Amino acid sequence: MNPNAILHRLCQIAREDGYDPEAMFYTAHGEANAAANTPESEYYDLGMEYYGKMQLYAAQAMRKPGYLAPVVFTYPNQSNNGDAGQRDIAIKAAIKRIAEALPNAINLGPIYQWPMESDRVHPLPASYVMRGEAVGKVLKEYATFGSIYQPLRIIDVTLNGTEFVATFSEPVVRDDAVPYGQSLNAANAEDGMEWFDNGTNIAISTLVYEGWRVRGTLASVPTGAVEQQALRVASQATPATLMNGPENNAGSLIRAQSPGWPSIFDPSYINYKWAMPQSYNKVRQG
Amino acid sequence: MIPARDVPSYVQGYRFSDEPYFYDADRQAFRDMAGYGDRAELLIDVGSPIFETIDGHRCLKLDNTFHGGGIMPIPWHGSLVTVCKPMYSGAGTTVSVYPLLFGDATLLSSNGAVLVQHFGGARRLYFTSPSFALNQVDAQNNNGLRVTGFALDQETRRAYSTKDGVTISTSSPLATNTHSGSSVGPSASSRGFRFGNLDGNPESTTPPAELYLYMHELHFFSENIWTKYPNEAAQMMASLRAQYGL
Repeated sequence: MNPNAILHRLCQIAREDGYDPEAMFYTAHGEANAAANTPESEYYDLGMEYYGKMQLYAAQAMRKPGYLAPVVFTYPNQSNNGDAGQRDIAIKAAIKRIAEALPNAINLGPIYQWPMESDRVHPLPASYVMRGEAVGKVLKEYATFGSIYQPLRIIDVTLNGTEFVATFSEPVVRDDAVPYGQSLNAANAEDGMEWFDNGTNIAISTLVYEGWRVRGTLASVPTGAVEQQALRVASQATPATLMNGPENNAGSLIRAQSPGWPSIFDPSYINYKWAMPQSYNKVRQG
Repeated sequence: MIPARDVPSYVQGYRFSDEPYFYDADRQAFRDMAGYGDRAELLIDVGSPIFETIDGHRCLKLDNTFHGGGIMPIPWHGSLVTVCKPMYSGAGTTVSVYPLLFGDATLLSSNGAVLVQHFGGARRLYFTSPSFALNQVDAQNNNGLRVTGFALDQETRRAYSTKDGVTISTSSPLATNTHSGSSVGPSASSRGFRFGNLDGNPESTTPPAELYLYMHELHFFSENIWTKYPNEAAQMMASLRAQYGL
């Protein structure tokens, strides 16, 4: 497939029919690179090159030199179990960096909230449709209002003894209607959150939800320096043996408090903004 | 009399002078004249460009000692205009060089290309899709500078060439293919174009023995300007010919 040629052809057809075409992109990638053990830095470099080129191709195909096409990113489900899940984490970290560095990137966040196949990698057919609705919604908001969707993410973490406080980008609530990721690292994780002290798990005993903040208690005081602390969310490693069910996929029970919106395809499904996969390692002393 | 940028569908273009308006010497980058900025530059990443003054105009001496490339300007179909001066100094041998290669296939003929060939005294300038599926040629029996326009057109499935934008030569059409446009487009690859790598070997900087060329200008259009915008295209060609004293 030659996406550059497709862009030119589609724009040409649209112009001939009297339209003023506008190109926008959605990318759902990462599985093959996780399987190939692509390092984070290499995936980042490739992504910046490819998506930057696609934005230029779009401008050229539209004949608008100043146009910078929006590119929507999501984080894949499990892609590859290699290296105890570290390959997945590397790719997701690279996607996050690309979505932060690429001009006009839109970070839509996770896809674990839409039901998956038993292979833990692929969404169900209906989930592709519902994810498409969500992508279309953020692109419509961009085209109509110029607004850039913001995913739900941790923006600050402080640590004081065994107590940490994670501040999210907007008020959050615990929602256990579906047990996303609850069977993974069950001894240490809580609601999809995991604490690492210089790379070693410390169990999270309790979590208290306080609007923008989630206050957590660790089972023991970390021994490493504060710079060696990390709080992960929705990034649990999965076992090598396939196990069906949302509780066996990396995810969390943390979503934004803001109201959801019903799927058009399946109105019984309510779309909420769920915590995106993240490994927060800029912990401050509280 | 109009410049290339005033012809509709102008998508990328370069003037191969070392004046700062056209060329960033620090980065060995030729600026895109279509307005798409840094990302559409033509970068020389092997060797150092050789600039000379030919007939009063600064230009590049393409001899394979330096080469580079840029992003693909006409992936579906389109036109290009070259201002160049192929130079043959041999004794009648048939020899080919590739100032432009579209795609990255190791087998050179599997790429689309702008190809210069000496054959029987003629300096042939080709624009061809991969494997010569569709091509047009402009032949000249001396080393004189020439302004040449080409196009590959997915709708007519023909190749086009012209020296003045008025008299247009066309190839026979390729058979209809409702599944693929690859044989008509300059490249099936989404990779960019290679520039100045005359022997097609990315590692090579060895000059060809008997054939090189001076390159003055290169312009790309994302449509067949000879049929879609004939008036503007003809005016542009007249402008270029006048600029270079033809």
